[in-house]
Formats: sequence, structure tokens, C-alpha cells
Amino acid sequence: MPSETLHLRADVLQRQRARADQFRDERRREGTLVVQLLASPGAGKTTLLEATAQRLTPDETMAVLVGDLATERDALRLRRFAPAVQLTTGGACHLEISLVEAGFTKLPRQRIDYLFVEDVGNLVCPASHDVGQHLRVALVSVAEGDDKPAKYPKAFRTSQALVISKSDLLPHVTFSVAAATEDAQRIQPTLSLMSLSARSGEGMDEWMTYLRQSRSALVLGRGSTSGAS
Amino acid sequence: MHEFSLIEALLEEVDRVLAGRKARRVTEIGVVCGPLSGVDPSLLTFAFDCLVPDRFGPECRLTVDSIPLQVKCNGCGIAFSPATIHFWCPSCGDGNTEILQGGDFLLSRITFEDDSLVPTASGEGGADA
Repeated sequence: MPSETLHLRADVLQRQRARADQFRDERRREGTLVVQLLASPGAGKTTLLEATAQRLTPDETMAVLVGDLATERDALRLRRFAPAVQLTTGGACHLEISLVEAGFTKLPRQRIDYLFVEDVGNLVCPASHDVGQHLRVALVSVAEGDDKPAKYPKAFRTSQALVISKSDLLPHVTFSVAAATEDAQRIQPTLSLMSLSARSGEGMDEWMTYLRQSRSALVLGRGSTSGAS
Repeated sequence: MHEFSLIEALLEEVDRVLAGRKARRVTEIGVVCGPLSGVDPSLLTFAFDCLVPDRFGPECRLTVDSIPLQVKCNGCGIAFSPATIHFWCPSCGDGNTEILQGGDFLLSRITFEDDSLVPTASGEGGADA
């Protein structure tokens, strides 16, 4: 039987990307900045979000969608401070837009200025999945080693900010902030860089300013968000 | 990454492309992936061999083209292939760059037997309009 060959150039993940684009656009119209957090397990994602919630002004609101393979522990921690929905993946080591969309519908119907998507602790797979975020923030704690940006290039290439967390531990570890940030900037020169400790409060003002400025830019239509290639 | 779920997404894309065509049997699927696509070609082939025989039969094969990373400098416009993780432009030093190729997982080719390719009276094949 005769055969035919079609030549094309189709992004295999385009359906997921289209859904993520739609989610991103809807949130923007509602004035919600969607911030995805990427990090290894234990880098301090949940602790940073707890500290963030406690630094909001009375007229600012946030909510969290948090991904884990098992347990609701992160959501239970966060619910003391903000609405939080646990996205339990069962076995998948990253979140996808379908889970984020479903989780979003479970949040209370109220204005959300900042929607945080705390991805599963993993610097590999989340880098390849668009969860509808405006900002992708990569966390590296000083306890992990300053070679992480070099070892996980896609996570840092596709992020808009690098946050070095647990800075209060610097006197006790051999982590070089300069080495980590130099490598990260070689991969993605446009990264915003911050170093902070959610526990001591050091650097948290800068983080809050970064969030607020990013949201203003989004709501006022200035600057570009997400989609770093 | 998740080569099994990637194969599922790949097959959905093949179905979408072939919708409306009289494709009788898919014999080859070609994909392109690069260093920042998140895809491992050997794992992808393994997942393909597990999943596709039930869909398109054991003769359907996967061809993976691995392409190098190519980056464009938005400052001076040149394209370059970073050998390491350095994405600064080697020509003008600008850090404002974008990936031209090597960052995505693409469906590039589908070969299929087509019921609508009917031989003409002269013996040559011709597709329906």
C-alpha cells in the first residue's frame, strides 16, 4: 500500500502549554500573580510561604496550591496563615496544569493577589512543566551545595528568580553564594537574585518587594512574565 | 523526565495530526529533542516499544533526532551553540538570549499508509485533494 510522510514541527506538550496559557491569562485578568516555587526537598519552600503570609499587609491576600506525593502536611502548615489546597500526586514527581486547575477550583471564592504553586520537591521534572505561572522561582538552600544551578540547568534557565534560602546557616556550611549565583547567571542572565532566611527574617523585605513589584507589573501590563526559554 | 507520559502525549498529537486523513497504518513516528528538552532518547525509545505496539502495531518504529542546543543573542543577533551552561553571547557579551532549538520535544515526522493514495490509470499514485 502506498505510504505518505508528513513533515511537521509540533510541540508535543502544546496542549498542556495552551491550558497553562489560559490559566495564566485568566489569573492575570483577575489580578492574581501566579508564582511557582521549584526546589529540592527540604530547601524551605513551605517555610518561605509561611513567612510570606505573615508579612502581607491586611489588604493583601494569598493562597497556595502545594504538591506532594503523599500527606497533607504542607497544606496543614500553610492553612494556619492562608487558604491552601494540597495536590497529592500519588507518584508523579511534578505538578501539571490539570492538577493545578482542579486544585484552584477548591480554593475559596475570594480575591487572591498572590497564588503560590509549591511544586513537588525536585529540580528536574518541574522545569519542563508549565503550571500556568507568571513567575518561576527556584530556591536553593545553603545546606545543599553551591553546584546546584550548574547541575540542573533547565530549572534555572526557565526561572525568573533565584532565591538562596536558609542564609542564617551560612556560617556553618561551605556554600559560596557568589559561586552559585555566577553559575545561575551564566545559564539565565536575567534572573533576579535574592538571599534570605525565612526564620531570621534576613532578606525577606527584598522578597516581599520583589513579589509586589512583579504583581504591579502584571496587573498594569508592564514587562513580560513567564515563558523564559 | 516521564517518558511514558511523553509517549502518551506524542500519540495524542499524532492522532490530532492524522484526524480526517485516511491513515491506515502508521509505520514511523519521528521526533526531535535536544539537551534542554528534558527527554532521554533511550528511555523514550523504551517507553515507545512498551506502549506503541498495542496502538500502531509492532512494525511502527520511532526515530529520534537529537539536535544540539542553539541560542540566539537578542543583542547582536548571532546564533551560537553553547558548549557548556554558559548562555552569554560569545560575540558581544550580552546576556539577553533565547533558545532557537534544543529546548523542546517535537513531533517531526509521521509516515503512514494512506487509503486515499489510489494508483492512477498510468500506475502513478496521487493523493486525493
